[in-house]
Amino acid sequence: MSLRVDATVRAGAFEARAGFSAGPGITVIRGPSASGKTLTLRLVAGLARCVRGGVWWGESAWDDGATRVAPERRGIGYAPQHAALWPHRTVGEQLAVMAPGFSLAGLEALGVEALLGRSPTGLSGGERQRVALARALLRRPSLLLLDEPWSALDRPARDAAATLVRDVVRARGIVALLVTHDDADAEHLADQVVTARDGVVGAG
Amino acid sequence: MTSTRRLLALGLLLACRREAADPSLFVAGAASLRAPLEALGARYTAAHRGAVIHWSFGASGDLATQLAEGAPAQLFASAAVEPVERLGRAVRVETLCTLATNELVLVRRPSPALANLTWENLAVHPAVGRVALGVVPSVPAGVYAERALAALGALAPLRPKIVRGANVRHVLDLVARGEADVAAVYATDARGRGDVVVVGPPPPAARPAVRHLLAWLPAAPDAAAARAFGDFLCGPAGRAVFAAHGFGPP
Amino acid sequence: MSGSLLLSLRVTLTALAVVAPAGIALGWWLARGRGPLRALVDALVLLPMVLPPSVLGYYLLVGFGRRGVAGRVLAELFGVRLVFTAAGAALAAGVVALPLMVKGAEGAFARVDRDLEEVARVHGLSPWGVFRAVSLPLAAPGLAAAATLAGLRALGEFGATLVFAGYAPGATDTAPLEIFMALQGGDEARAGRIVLMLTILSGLCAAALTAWARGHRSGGERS
Repeated sequence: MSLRVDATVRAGAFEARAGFSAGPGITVIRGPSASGKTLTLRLVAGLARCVRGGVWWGESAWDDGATRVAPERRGIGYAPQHAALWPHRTVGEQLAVMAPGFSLAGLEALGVEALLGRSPTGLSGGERQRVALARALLRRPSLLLLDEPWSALDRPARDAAATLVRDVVRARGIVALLVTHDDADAEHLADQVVTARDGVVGAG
Repeated sequence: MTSTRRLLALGLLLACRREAADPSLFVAGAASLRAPLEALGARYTAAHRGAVIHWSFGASGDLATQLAEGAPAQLFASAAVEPVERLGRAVRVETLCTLATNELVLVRRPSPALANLTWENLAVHPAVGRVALGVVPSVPAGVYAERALAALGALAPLRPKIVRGANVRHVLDLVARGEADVAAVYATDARGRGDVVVVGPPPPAARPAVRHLLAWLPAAPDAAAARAFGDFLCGPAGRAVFAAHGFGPP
Repeated sequence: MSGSLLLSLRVTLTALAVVAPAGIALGWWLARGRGPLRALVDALVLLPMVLPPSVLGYYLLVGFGRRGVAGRVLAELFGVRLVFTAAGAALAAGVVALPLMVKGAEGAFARVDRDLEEVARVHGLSPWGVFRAVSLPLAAPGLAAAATLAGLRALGEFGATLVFAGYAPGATDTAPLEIFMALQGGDEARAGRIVLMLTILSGLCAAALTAWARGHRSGGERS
């Protein structure tokens, strides 16, 4: 399965043009801030509508002006920039809502077991990001969207998480989009690099 | 409440216009007396250029309360004796005359289901859902109606069906709009109304004597000037106009 | 006296039973919606707040009185009468309470972090699932406050009730009406008793709400 994006997307006054394809593996989207990277991820997730063009997953159109597939039906795992954990449920509870009967097998490297009974409001930034990563992988998604997913982790934890993600992506043939500032990420993880600049992501 | 404020505001205005040509007349009148009073007022101001009359209409009991609290009316046309007596315990009043007499009657909706309604079968009539009476004690017609019903032994059984109107006109309107099936009003209120049917007065044993009085308040501002209008209302012109509106002779 | 207070409570709770869910739904829609329809609904919802109570009562009569547009249908098809009934008093109370509920709910939902809802959506929850799992729990304190204010407004409703539902002892003589009628009839003592009970009741509700809100601090609010 592969992802194809060829769309114009708008958020308030900001407009971005995105044009690229991504197959199984990690596609790094690299660029300065406010260049449209996050907006592109939101477009693919179905959280932003495209004004022109569309987003295709394999043969089917996820958003092409005529049809639109709801976000919850796209089988996506999403780790947003600031984790976005629910404050009113413990980690274990909210993961269970999104993936009933979930298992953390294979995700031990993220160290989330120890955090299951904790409330997110008491977690550090790094702990929250680890939970968000686990959440993104829990439902065995076919498409992974990662937006600066380990910016608050120290080097060792970061390496562990990055290695885990790369292994899972390879093992399951997942299409992964990784937005990052870190050049090291791009070097070690990218199967493909898409550049973003001034609202143009990829070929534009 | 609004009439008091209105009267007080106009009274203030009056106080500021001490040098004005003719003083204003303030008359508080029962709702049922509105038509003949306004007609007589128009005649008076036509004949006495410069005379200005400010009216305030409502339930006699409410008006008496306002006047007792100091609302500056010089004349009080009451639908019954009791409000005047109550007012007399608070301020100086002088009854100038009986303006007219009247009949308490039952009115009903035009529905055929109520065709055989009478005072006697009111308490048990199956098609009577709601009986509209004036609020007591402020509406004399309400007081009269309750007395008549009590004399017939009908008041207690009817209590659950009684709804209230703020004055007699309101009570009549409730029947006209179909919100109540029956109401007790004065014969003059129902006169000429095609949207209600007059059933008639209560049986003689239960029939109240309805007297509409005109009282003068000598202690009110410009009371002397108002006295002339009061005498006019009590005179032959007054009698004629009240009779023309269907009231009984005093 | 206790009769009119009990009636007031019954009328208020009946009104709230309708206004709370309707207000939550409308508040949610206003907080998340866009477009010309939203502006129209917004204006309509605010109308009972800006119209004088007697004007409101008049419009209710025109609509729901025996001869009214909707009243006629209700009376003929369902045998339902509103004037001079507790149901009519509840309608008047509900109409004036609705704007408070809607606006309060709208504010509560607007304060819920959109990111939290979106991340739930992407991870498989339907819009209704997101509402139940995220929006509703996080908005709950604000919704409770809105419901309390709306309830207190319904409890104190007078003008529209008097004009529309009228004064029918036993059915529409809610506490505010009874206070007015007692004063009209010169019975200040009775009026004073009802005023005292109503004040205590309202004060208790407000205090309970404040205490609950303080003990129920939850995150998830936009900073």
